[in-house]
Amino acid sequence: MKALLLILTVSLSPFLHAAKEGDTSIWRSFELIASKGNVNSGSVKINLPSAQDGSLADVLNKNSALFIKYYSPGSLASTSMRGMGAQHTAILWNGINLQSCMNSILDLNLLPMFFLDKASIETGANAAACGNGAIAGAIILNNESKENSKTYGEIGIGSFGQLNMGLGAGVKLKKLFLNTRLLKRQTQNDFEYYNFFKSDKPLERMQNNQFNQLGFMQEASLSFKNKHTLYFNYWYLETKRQLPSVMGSSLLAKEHQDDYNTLLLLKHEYKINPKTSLINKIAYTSENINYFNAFYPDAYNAAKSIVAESEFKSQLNRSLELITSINNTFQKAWTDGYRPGIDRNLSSLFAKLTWTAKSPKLKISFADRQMFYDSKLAPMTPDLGIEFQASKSIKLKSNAAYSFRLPSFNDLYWQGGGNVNLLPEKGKKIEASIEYKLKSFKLGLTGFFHHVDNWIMWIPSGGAASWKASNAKEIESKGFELATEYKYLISPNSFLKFYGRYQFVVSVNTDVYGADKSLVGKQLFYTPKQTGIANVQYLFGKNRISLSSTLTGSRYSTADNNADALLKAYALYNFSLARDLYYKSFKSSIEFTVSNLMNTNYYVFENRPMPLRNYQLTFKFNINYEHK
Amino acid sequence: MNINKLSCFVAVILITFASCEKDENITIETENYKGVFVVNEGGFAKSNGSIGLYKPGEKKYFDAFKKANALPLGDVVQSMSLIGTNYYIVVNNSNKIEVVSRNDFKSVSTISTPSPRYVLDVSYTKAYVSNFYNNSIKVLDLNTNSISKSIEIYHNSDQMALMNKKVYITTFDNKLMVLNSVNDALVDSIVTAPGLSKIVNIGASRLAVLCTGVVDWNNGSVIENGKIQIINLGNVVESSFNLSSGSYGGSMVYVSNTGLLYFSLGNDKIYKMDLSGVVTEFVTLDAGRNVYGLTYNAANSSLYVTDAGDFNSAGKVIVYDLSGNKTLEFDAGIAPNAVLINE
Repeated sequence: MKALLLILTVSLSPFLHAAKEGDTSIWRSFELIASKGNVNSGSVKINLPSAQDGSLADVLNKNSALFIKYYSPGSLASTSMRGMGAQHTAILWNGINLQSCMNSILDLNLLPMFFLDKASIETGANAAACGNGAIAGAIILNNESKENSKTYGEIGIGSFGQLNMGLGAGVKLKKLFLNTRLLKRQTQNDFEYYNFFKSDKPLERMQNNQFNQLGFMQEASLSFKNKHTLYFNYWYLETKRQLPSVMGSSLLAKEHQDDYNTLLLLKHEYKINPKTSLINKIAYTSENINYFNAFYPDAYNAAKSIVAESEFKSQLNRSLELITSINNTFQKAWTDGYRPGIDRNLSSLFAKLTWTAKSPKLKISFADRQMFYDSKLAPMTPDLGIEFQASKSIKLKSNAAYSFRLPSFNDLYWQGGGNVNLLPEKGKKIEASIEYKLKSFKLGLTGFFHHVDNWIMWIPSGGAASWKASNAKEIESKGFELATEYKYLISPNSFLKFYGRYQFVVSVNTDVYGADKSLVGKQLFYTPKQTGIANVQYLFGKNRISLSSTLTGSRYSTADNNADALLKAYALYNFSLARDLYYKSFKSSIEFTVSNLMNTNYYVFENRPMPLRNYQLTFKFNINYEHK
Repeated sequence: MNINKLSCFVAVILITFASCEKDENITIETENYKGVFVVNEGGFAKSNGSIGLYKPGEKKYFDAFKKANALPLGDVVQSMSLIGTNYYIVVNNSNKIEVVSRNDFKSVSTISTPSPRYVLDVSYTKAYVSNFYNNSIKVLDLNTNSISKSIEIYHNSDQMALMNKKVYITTFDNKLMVLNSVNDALVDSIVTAPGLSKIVNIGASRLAVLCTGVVDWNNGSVIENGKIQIINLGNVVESSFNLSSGSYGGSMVYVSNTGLLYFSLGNDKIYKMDLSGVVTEFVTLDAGRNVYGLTYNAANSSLYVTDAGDFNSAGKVIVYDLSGNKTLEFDAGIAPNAVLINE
């Protein structure tokens, strides 16, 4: 197989001739390493390809070096960034943090890419810019539709009963733009796997693994007098899914879960003058998670938050920019662990001052956020970022910051183990990057060091049968990230594109509070040291061939790094063929994808089988009524 | 960059990723299955439960079931009982009982039954199986290794003890249910103190039960202290001894040659109690250790303590002689709850 890959890759060489790229594809070309639009100064921003189908988890899994943890396609998916937990990555949707107040995480499988216009990863994004929870970094999700009248959509079918349908329509009425999207995703997920709990290791079909999602999105924007813009966005998602049992376990529990998510954003942007603007936002998020198990009572959990934020941005002079904001977030949740309901109010003040020298181009920014919660002061989050354009090709960046994460409601109040005396987790980090750009070659290399104190875990406390949320340990996470992309123009309408991303991280316990220190120095479990992706695309005329490989390194499934519990590394290959089809203003594409090309038998979690080779066929279209 | 170099670069990266895959082969080796078997529950819904075997002479520990059968065992290994020439390994959340030969630990039979907890042989041909989610006791035919009957007892069941052809079954509702093991009839029930947790036969037609009391789930404070109760053949609570604290769970064994009950409330202390109710501390475990299970081995007069640790790392087995001296300690699997010695 290695020989085949070599042949396939090298065989592309004869097609290579210097030329210009034609902007011919519905598959929007994307810049992997972006130097602009960061939420955080001094860190590297990696864009994700847009116009993807599936969930955010699917796209991160196939296009980033983040380790996406999930039991099975469609089930709860979370991310490990820089060797830390899902609760340490902020998920910002149009600037609003979506991490649940119940458990500090967000299920990435719930967010359909069809509802998003832009997605990016900022490893190293900090609490000053992103607020509570951004210790490892942030995933930035935005809606930035092009405001034109159009109809667009997608339909995809695939293995295991997969059916994805999305339909959208935008209407531009003078200063008003309306954009509506509808979505349906479903799959049986009854893929085959080898059951190695049985002596002959038979191929069996996964049971109790259906996924169904319906969604509605309404976006509206209104501009007037070139000064005021009103923006409205509403999402409603209804997700019903079964939860498969671990291999070797009983199938009788028939677990399933229903999720209902609402996101609402109203934003007013006022351009006071060309150098000054004021943005006011109000957002409402709601999540209902209903869990069912044949052996336990039904569990109904709900959380809501209301966010109000006002941001003032001013270019004070040629070199000085000031951003200030005030934010108030009200959170409330009801679960079986705290049935009467718990609420809290998070208020914060933010300021960021950026000084930019004209020549040589040097940018220094200092930011801080001070949060108040439950009549307490959260830890300060000073953040110093430096960017220096050393030459035309080389940009140097560095960032040092403090961050924090407040305990979740479950950690604080869950009946039977919640601990109201928990302290916030406190993080500090330093990182340095070099970005190199020469023509169409780009390289970003970042070294980072994080230290997190008061790490919250549920551990046996005062007896083996009694568990309690505790500030249990300190961890250190250090390593480097590599991102590269290269585009080689072959002819006026063909080019070759390569992009890759790699992360190496050592994330270990540096102290464990308590008498037993045996876990000191151990790599955090389910934290691979190596993750990466390599993707090569050949685009010619209206066609595209893509081959990608994702690597997930070996990782321990136990906290003591027991060698018997080391899950082996795996590499997955995905191959796709796509063709664009045009007729006047009708733009479409059809793509055939083979996922897990090599039929690799792999596990993200211990004893949780994943699909073998599988196929998808996707048709996308866009009719632009303003096309000329 | 020369495009051929780029192609090679891409190829090297792809191949590098491909080369990271390793194949895992499990080989079956010949082994003498004698030593200290450890019942490792594993994590719930992780299917990493196991039966480990520690060989004191060689100071060697390995996964016995996997080694003998080239298979992992399953999800939540609750208990193991030696009946005749076979071990009956109860794998609770896999809904099965693996029957393996005492001689070579190879699988003899797999019995499917819902949420089993313990197996207790009541005759040469019959055993009872308790159930966590099923208000019944299953009758196991030891000749055919199949479930032959179900006895309704109206409560989920856990531990069992045999006394004078009657089986006393702990439930999660502070009741002991009593079955006639000859005709499988439900004959009685006995209300116990709150937190009914463990039952042991103490001889002289008496049983002892450990009740761990009531704990406030909100803050972990003890609302009602635990008790040890003695039950006689007339199904009457003959005596009830108050303990100095309470907990969510505990462990207890009876040591016949000292006539003492050794018990723990799941923390770092093990106590001993005589049958008049006098309690003294037996031993305090090393810092950071907690008792998850107790097993007594009469052959070497030793108390085997299992410590589940954080339930996500190798647990420990710590062995004490009856003077309270630690004689051995070794690492086991995930969440060890008991040992069984075959020497």
